[in-house]
Amino acid sequence: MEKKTVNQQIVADDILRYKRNKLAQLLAILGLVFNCLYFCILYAIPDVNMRKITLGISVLLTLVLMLVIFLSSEGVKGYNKKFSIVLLVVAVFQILRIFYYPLKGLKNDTLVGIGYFGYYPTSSGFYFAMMLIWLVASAACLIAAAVLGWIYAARLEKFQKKLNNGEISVEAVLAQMDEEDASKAAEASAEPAVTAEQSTGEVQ
Amino acid sequence: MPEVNIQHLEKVYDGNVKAVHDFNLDIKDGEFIVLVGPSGCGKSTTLRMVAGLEDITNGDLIIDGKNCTRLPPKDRDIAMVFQNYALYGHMTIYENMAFSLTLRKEKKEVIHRKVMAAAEILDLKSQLNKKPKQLSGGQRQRVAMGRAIVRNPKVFLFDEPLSNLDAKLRGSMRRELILLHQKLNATIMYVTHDQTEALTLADRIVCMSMGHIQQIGKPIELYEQPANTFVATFIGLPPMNMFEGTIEKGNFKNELFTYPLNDKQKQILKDYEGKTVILGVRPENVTRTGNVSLHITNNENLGMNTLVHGKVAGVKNIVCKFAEWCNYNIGDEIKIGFDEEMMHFFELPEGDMPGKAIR
Repeated sequence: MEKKTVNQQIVADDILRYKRNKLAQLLAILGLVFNCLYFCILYAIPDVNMRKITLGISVLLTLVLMLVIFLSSEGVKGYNKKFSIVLLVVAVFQILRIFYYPLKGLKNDTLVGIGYFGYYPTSSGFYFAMMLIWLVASAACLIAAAVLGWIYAARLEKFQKKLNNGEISVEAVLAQMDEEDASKAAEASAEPAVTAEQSTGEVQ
Repeated sequence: MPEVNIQHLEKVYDGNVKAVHDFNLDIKDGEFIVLVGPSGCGKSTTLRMVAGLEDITNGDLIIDGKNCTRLPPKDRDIAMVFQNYALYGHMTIYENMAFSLTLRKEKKEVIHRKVMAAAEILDLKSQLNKKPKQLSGGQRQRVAMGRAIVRNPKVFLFDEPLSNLDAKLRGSMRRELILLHQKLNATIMYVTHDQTEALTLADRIVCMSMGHIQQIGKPIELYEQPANTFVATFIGLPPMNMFEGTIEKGNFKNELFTYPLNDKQKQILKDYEGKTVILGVRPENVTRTGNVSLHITNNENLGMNTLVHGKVAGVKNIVCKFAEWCNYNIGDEIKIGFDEEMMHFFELPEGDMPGKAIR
């Protein structure tokens, strides 16, 4: 990959002022989707133990978590550093959850009856393995979203500071790049003529 | 910027409905062409055929030496600005302007530079992060133009772009369009039914009626030397006053008045002795000295001039535009005449075809 010149880097930073951080947003949303898959599996386990008061708390927690992730995804889209931290905290929470249901469940693998995946005797280990995968995926996406959100927000912040201090001028950079392009185009159009003269031996 | 050659262009819809008849036009490099005419005259159809949004039934479209008659719109390298802006509501102004380039998979840096350059030209830099619904009609139209500019097309097509704006904004946008054309030196085809836009913007006007070109020329040519009765009455506000009469012994004569012709007019009309012709006089070429009696029916003071509506000899309705403040009462009778240098004579219309100018 070609290394960017100073001017190209300024233009790349300037683009951040007009484009949302959609990649970070997408990753956060993906994290939310994986979280949804996690609790779909969680509530699908035909386990009588689930039918307790904790089920209600679990549902509430999941809803709050989804709301937080969604709001944070909007936040990182707008280059807000605070929401990167929120996403990171949620990611840590997801990692901690791995040690609660999935790993605990995997240790006590039992055969369960008619389950979410059809009328087959299913091992509870299968459910817990799926839960583990979705939680890991969710945490990974949230961490990536948080990191990307932070990096781009910091970059934009730094660029904005420089702009406000008058250290750089985007207009001047764009004008300079246009001039460079124009001179390159002029050189390119002049080159064939010189080659033709040289080929006839008139230019020494 | 390239030339555009439109040769024998025709559009026939299902049921043998002919919308455009034998349209021929050569547009020079950097020229601003305005297609003007009443609704249904085929001007938008012609523009859409050039854009590739309508199939061309017959004829050829050559852009920059390349025959584009059967090419799909994307391969014609043209950009069109629509009356309803056609902006994406969920995208910011920046994203709207960058959209066509994003589809072409241009580099982000290139897109940014082009968008910023267009925003600079159109004074939209402070609006780039807004959504279209946050902008005024004029600003939205500028965004639509910006979206066309970033593509750097060979030809710009405008389909009544100012029709959705109020009168004041239309005026300012007209001035901006003129400046934009000067800055870009672009080849532009512009469709409007508003003759003011046509007269102020165009290098050349194409006046159309019922699918036929009635006249092509500079704005001043269409105004001062209309080719036929249609152009004479369509261009100019209020429209030209028309009187039917016969040429008899050096006079234009009808049941309302007899008007003596000068030597130049007699020479022009020498072959029409005893024949019926049409005399056309623009409202601003009616004078307050003469022998034609006018019964005032309305007096409209517009500030810098006055529109006086009346009936010649109490029969034929005409409009006069006097360059001063007048206070006529309804029912007053005044004597009027015509500026001899600005009297137009036309043959009688034949069927659907308007009467040709006699020169």
